[in-house]
Amino acid sequence: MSTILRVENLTKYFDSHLVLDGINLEVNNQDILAVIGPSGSGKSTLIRCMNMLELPSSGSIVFDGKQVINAFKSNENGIGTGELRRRVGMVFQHFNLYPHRTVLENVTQAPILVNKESVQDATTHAKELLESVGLVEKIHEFPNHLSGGQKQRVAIARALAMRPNLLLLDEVTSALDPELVGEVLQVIKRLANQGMTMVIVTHEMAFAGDVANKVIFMEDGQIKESGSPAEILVTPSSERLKLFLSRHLR
Amino acid sequence: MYQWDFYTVLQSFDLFLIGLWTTFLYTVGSISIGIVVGLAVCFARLAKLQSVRLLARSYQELFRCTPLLVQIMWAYYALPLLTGYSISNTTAGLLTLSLYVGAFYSEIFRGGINAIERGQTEAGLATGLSRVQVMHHIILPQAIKKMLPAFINQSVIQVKNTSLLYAISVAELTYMTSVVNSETYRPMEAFTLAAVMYFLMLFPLTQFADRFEKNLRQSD
Ligand SMILES: Nc1ncnc2c1ncn2[C@@H]1O[C@H](COP(=O)(O)OP(=O)(O)OP(=O)(O)O)[C@@H](O)[C@H]1O
Ligand SMILES: [Mg+2]
Repeated sequence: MSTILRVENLTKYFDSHLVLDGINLEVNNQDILAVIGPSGSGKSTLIRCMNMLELPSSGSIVFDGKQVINAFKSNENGIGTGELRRRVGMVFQHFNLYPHRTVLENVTQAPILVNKESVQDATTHAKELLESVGLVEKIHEFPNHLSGGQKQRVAIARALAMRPNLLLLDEVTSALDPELVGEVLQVIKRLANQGMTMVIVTHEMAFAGDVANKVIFMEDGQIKESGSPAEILVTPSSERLKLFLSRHLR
Repeated sequence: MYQWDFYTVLQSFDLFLIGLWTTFLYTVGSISIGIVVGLAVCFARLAKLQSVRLLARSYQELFRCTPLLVQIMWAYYALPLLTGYSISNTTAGLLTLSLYVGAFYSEIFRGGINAIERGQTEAGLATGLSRVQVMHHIILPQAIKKMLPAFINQSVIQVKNTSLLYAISVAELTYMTSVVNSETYRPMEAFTLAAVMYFLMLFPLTQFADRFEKNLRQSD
């Protein structure tokens, strides 16, 4: 199984505050890695380092066998943030859709600007994606007219429009009303079945157990446990993890 | 009871027209240059390098915290002593007005850009856009809408500020009105007419700004 992303000895400080403390992990193609842990444990910071929205203080990110460098353009030293982000999609907790653009334009923008796709190709692809997340009838709406669940499905389509090798999802259902969580999880579940490689930060333990093939439990900026969903979620070893799960499993 | 006599001053209507046209030119000229200056200073204030930020900040404070009239006089009378080159009233006037309004515009632009949530930038970057593309396609289109009312207000003030060029004998509306006044000795009519002309130019603009702001608030 080939490795798409490797994190090596990653540390991150915000000023003098150590937020990630020596993280090592590997994501193989078609892996679904669930990241769980209490609030403030560094989950978001970790996943944001994976596409360089947060710059590591030390350690390295290796994408598709190449070192990620802190420059937009790739060069002989490694892969730049431009190429990295083109190949790694991200979905945010608060959607971050562009309010001044229609649903369709939200999805086609990056393929047109970054991948230089023709408007026609980008539109055809966007319509397919929006159809697959059940939103074709909304393509000419503006994001403000959508429910949270619909917004998040558009955001997923926007990320997929770049045909990413890896998709990063940071608590994508946490800002949703409970009754809208299901429709978004269903879309992610289908992506999983199609073999999309994903890193998913989530508080939905049942969902993590359902889709993930690896789970890591973070605390205080460190990976405290990692393993299969069964090992982590069903037979946790540490007291901390047991306590965490007892709070989050309903 | 004062006897109005517009007939006399209206005989010099061509002088008013010259003034009006000059005011228009200085307004458009200084606003255009001011936009360019304002954008440059705004981006300088958002720059990574602290020295660049400091320089931009100093410029803003210098021009915002001294009276425009003093700046105009300084550029026309003092600057030549400093440089050894004399400067025409046209150049001094246009330069000062532009730099002055640029300082205010830069803060308006910066406010508009900062009002756009960080998540917008992150979403753009995360799909592989460059910082310049994010600014161009995501931030500015949203920021312009937010800053437009303040921009129009500042521009309205700018039209009125051109009247200060009177002090260095630029033939704008206020100066030309005073010429008419000295020729006709009808200050009441001359300055009333000038006021009406300014008002007719600016009232539609302030109305538009208000309407726009209201729409903006409703659409949020
Ligand atoms: N931009 C920042 N500047 C300073 N401190 C930050 C910043 N972002 C995060 N932190 C701090 O880093 C720590 C880890 O934050 P992070 O958002 O990664 O946690 P998390 O595990 O995602 O938490 P949550 O479950 O609440 O989303 C927290 O203490 C947080 O306050
Ligand atoms: Mg988080």
